[in-house]
Amino acid sequence: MRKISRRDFIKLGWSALQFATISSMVPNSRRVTKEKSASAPNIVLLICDAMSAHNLSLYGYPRKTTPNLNRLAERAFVYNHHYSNGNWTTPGTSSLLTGLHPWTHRALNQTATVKKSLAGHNIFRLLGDGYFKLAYTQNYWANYLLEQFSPDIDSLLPFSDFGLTDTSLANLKFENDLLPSGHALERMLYYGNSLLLSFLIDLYYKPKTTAEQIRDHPSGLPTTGIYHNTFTLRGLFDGIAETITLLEKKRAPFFSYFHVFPPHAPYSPRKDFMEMFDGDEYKPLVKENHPLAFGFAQGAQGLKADKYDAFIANLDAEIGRMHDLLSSQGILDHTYFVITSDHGEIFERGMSGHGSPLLYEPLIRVPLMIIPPGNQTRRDFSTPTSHVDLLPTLLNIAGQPLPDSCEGKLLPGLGGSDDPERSVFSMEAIESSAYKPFTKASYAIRKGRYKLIHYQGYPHKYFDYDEFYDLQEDSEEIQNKFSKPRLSEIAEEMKKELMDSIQLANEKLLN
Amino acid sequence: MSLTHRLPKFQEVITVYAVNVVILYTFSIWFSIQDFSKNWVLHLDTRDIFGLFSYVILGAFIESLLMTSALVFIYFMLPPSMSQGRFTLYGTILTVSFLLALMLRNNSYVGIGHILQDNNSIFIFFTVSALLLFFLSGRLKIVRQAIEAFADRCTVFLYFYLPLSLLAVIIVLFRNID
Repeated sequence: MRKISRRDFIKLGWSALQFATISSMVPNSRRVTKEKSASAPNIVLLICDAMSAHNLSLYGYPRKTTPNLNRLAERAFVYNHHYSNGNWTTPGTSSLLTGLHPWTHRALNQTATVKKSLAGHNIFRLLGDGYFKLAYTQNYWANYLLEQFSPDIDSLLPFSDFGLTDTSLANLKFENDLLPSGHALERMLYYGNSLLLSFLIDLYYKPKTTAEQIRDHPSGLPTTGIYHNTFTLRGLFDGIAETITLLEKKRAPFFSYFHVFPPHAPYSPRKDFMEMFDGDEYKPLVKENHPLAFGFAQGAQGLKADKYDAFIANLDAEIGRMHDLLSSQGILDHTYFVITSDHGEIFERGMSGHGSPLLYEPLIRVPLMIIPPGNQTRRDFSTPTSHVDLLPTLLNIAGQPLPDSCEGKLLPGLGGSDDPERSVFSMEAIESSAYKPFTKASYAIRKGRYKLIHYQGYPHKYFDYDEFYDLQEDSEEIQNKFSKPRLSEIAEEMKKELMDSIQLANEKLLN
Repeated sequence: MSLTHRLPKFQEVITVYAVNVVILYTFSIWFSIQDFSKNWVLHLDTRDIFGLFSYVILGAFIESLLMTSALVFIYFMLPPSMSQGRFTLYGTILTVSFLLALMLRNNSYVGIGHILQDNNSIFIFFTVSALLLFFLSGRLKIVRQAIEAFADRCTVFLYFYLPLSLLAVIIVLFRNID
């Protein structure tokens, strides 16, 4: 008989505790059986966290970071100026999933969720009962949103799926009180707001790695930085492909949302990608540090950018592999395959990463590529588009009615048309209250070739300050032309449009 | 000798439990407040904030029970000749040494967190500090009296923290009843 190890004993104890205390709160599986509609296509939405369009060769980056995306683009709709509505996960993902601007959904702060009265305004509910809806995220902040939308999701996969760590304990929830219990207990267990419980959790969670996996990742295995959730890109995408294959066998058409953590930091490419850009000829333009940036030195930014690019290349290889696998199984013959990101990443102006009040292109311009079933040619769209456009577009693809409350438009090529005069917005307001008009925020509006950034409530001149760029002449956003006589009229007009939108949102909030 | 005689006296258990409660509750509440005030109060309503603190206190309550139970178990396993009548002293020393080691490994303090990086260093710090306190309390009466006086003062806080725990348990139960 096998001896019971200390680990087995601890597991047994935890299991007993789970059964005694929490099992009664866990509802039965949400999985349901649905009828397959002959005409409705499947939709796979793949979000690659913190993947900036700026660093993808798909969009002209000098380093060959995305040969596979370039290849897939040959039969895709490629949106060349697509913007996230936020510069970090919560506002960006919320806009993508609700089709609402951050000033409407109000998911602005860390661990935030969308305004309670708008919780039902999400892609999962609006797709209707005809679809089987599956969601998975490795991102801690996005997981809060999925938990909020969980009544509308048929299968919400645990964030630890496809990883190397058995984090099943973290999937035990107070189902009737998900958000406050999640906020409090997760911060206690995994972020050190407690002494003993966080220590015990540390003892409990250990990734099951092989010597080969460790050898293949000299800078460490990829991790989400929480729950000791360690994984390999190969395992992650194998798991996603397997899930899609299983979904295909269901009777209903499916909508699947996969929000993977790479290429978010820590950048941990496999060893065959690790040094592919170190010491190459590419030299990014050196830009002056921004007073509101986190304050990284140029050299540190450069080193991180090399690893980030290598991680993107690694991710790109896995996306290509998964796509080819699904394609060979015929699944993509009736499936829309959508690839985008929740926000970008920046390595300039004293910044390394994302967040902060900065809203420059690398932070908010993200890839958007849609491969419609059966499409054989590449179509490029240059008109600015936004994450709020995805919800109406996906509803349109699914043959569902578009609610009047949608703040986005149908994407060109998929029901919408090119509108060069269309304005798209991004913002951050992490230090503003979700319940009150904004007091500290930054906003960006892109219209045609121009972009305006407005800062509100930040120290010194950024208490009320504007930057205005002509992206056609100055794609690196170096020359602030807000006060240039020739352009001031356009700048003022765009600022008025932006401020009117914010004022309207604030008035709605107060009423 | 019956097994019950190997258990510490109820008053001693309460005293050591109070030491645990003071350290664990204060730590959790303090760091949770810091955490919430940074951003959570910006988007949670009053009802949710109350709920949230109830879970924090529930967590601290479970921690304090686990710690005290472990100490009672250790006492139970030790030969009576070594530990009889010294549960308050030994329990307090072990509690303070162990929780201090955990504080030094914790990642809550930005900038100075993770002083103790791994389980070995935690174990070494805990062992050395506990042995030092055992040694000093055996040699110096003033150290022993100080430790016992500290433990005794901690019991006052039970009048605050225990009703709070009860309230937290009730709130959590109500929030989870369908």
